[in-house]
Amino acid sequence: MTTPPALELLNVTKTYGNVAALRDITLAVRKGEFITILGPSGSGKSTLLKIIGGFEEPDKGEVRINGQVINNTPPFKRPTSMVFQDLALFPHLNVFENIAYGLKVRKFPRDEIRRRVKWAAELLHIEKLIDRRITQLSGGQQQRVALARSLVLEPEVLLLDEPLGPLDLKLRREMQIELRRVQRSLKATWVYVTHDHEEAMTMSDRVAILNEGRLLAVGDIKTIYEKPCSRFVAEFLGEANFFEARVTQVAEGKTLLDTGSMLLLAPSKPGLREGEIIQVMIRPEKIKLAKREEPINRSKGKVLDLTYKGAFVDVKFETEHGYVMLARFTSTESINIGDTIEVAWSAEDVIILRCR
Amino acid sequence: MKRRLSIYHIYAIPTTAYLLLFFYIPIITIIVYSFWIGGPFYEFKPGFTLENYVRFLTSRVTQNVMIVTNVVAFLSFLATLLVAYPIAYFLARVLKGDTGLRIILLMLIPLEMNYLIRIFAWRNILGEQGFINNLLLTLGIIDEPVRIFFHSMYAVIIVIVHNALPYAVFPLYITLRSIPQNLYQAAMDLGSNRVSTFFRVTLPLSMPGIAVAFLFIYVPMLGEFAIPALVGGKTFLLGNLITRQYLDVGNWPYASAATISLLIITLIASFLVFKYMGVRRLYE
Repeated sequence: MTTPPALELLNVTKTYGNVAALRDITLAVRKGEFITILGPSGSGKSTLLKIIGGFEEPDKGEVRINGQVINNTPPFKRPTSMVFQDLALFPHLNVFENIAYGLKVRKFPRDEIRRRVKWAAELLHIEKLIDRRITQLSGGQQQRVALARSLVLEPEVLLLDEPLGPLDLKLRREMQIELRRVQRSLKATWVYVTHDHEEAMTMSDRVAILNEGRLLAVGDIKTIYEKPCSRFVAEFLGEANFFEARVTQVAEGKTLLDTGSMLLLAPSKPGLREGEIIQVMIRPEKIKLAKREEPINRSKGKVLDLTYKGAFVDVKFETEHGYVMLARFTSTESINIGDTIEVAWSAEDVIILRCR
Repeated sequence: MKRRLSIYHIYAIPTTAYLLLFFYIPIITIIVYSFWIGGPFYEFKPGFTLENYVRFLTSRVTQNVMIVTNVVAFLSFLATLLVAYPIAYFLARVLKGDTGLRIILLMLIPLEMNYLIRIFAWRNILGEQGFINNLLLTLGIIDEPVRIFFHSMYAVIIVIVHNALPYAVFPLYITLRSIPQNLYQAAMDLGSNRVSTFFRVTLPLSMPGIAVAFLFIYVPMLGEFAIPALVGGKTFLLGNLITRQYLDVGNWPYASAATISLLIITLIASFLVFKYMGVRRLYE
């Protein structure tokens, strides 16, 4: 018998009045996995987390933990724990008392409480702050306390609702690495919610992309970034050049596309019919400065704008085919506004945006 | 830094004048009186003596009155709290939006009615021929009117609970409202059911409101004289003692010494409450 997933959502649906917050969400999370639910604000990701934590009830569908349906279990009996968006630390308790809260409520023996709090405080490097008041802590330290407060309970599933939101960029990067370290060392199942795709990339084993209550893509971030199946997902994870094209020829493994002014060669996808109009995408970093003889997957254009970004430079140029495209080159290339550049890309970097 | 008078200091004049006229001058007058040489029937003379204070603080009678006053004040506070907390909890946590605040405003309307008239109204309810006794007689629960509700300490406490209720509900409502919603969720998430959440989160965090309610109820009770006089029967509190000394006995220096002593006790009590019960959290 195979072990059931640590967390399983089956056809979870939630509506507020006439607004569908979540539509038919099905997702399985393995034990020990760090999964990020990524979506813009209002996509339903916090609602999803609240449903897992037990603060909201789904209209339809099931939530299972280790194979057991927990739809009717109140939050205080669920084997989940949540790190809240604004942390929700208890202002009348000090660091120790905050971390010990769940253990005290569960009537753990005093020694066990002390041992576990010490363990969590050491894991998160806050053992020196244990007697401080919450108001005496910095933002980053408060994060650590909130995390420790949940971790001492050894939850089956830890839920994190954009906990790094209020931190400044540098601290955020530090905490991302720290969170990843803690999660790996505990081999615990974490569900992390964020709208920041870079954060998702840094930390997660897998990413689930949510928009308007729908799960658009689930998988490892590299696959989703490189081969997104919809324009929304492609744009959400980074910049891209989009084209509408007609399928002119489907041969073995390759598809020839015509945008009207430019010919593209792409890897074929099952189900493509000759003559249909489809959307394709090329990531800016896949575009190379190169001359190519045959008139496919190449272009020539005048540089309109340059954005220096440290290691690389973003080049916006208007092509002879009438498109404004974005390419990303290493900063060592000497390009100036007004220059004419010739570019090319390989067939596997032309991505057909189609989910089924 | 050098302080210089500017045109803006003019704005402070009305307030200063008001405080001076109605607050500082009377208090200073009473302080001065309290050191005069006392005697009954308005036969007191200017002078300087500590005799009044010594008499007030060492007399067995006044000490007993002090104890009774504090007991009644504390019981009144507890009784009011027991009634006000559930009301405030309901208004702040169960009702949505501003509905709770509107209901509190409705609760303030009876306060517009004269204080003495409100107390007299209670005589009609609690009295020997009052509503409660008539009801109990009609229902056959008692054979003759009972006096437990009237001319007793209980009557004093009942009337105070009624009078003080808005003063307790309001600060409690404000503190309960100021507790972030997600703290309740966090408590539930960490394993607290409703009862545990109440005792571990809600109650400790509403301490500032309880402290303010304490000040609003306990402190005025130390000087209360009308309620015990009208419904309290033999209940004789510090306020009654002072009133009697001013109006009946006519020993103003002694009454003034009692007043100032009471003022100092009140100030100390308020200071302690402010310092140790987290009242500052309310406005920080």
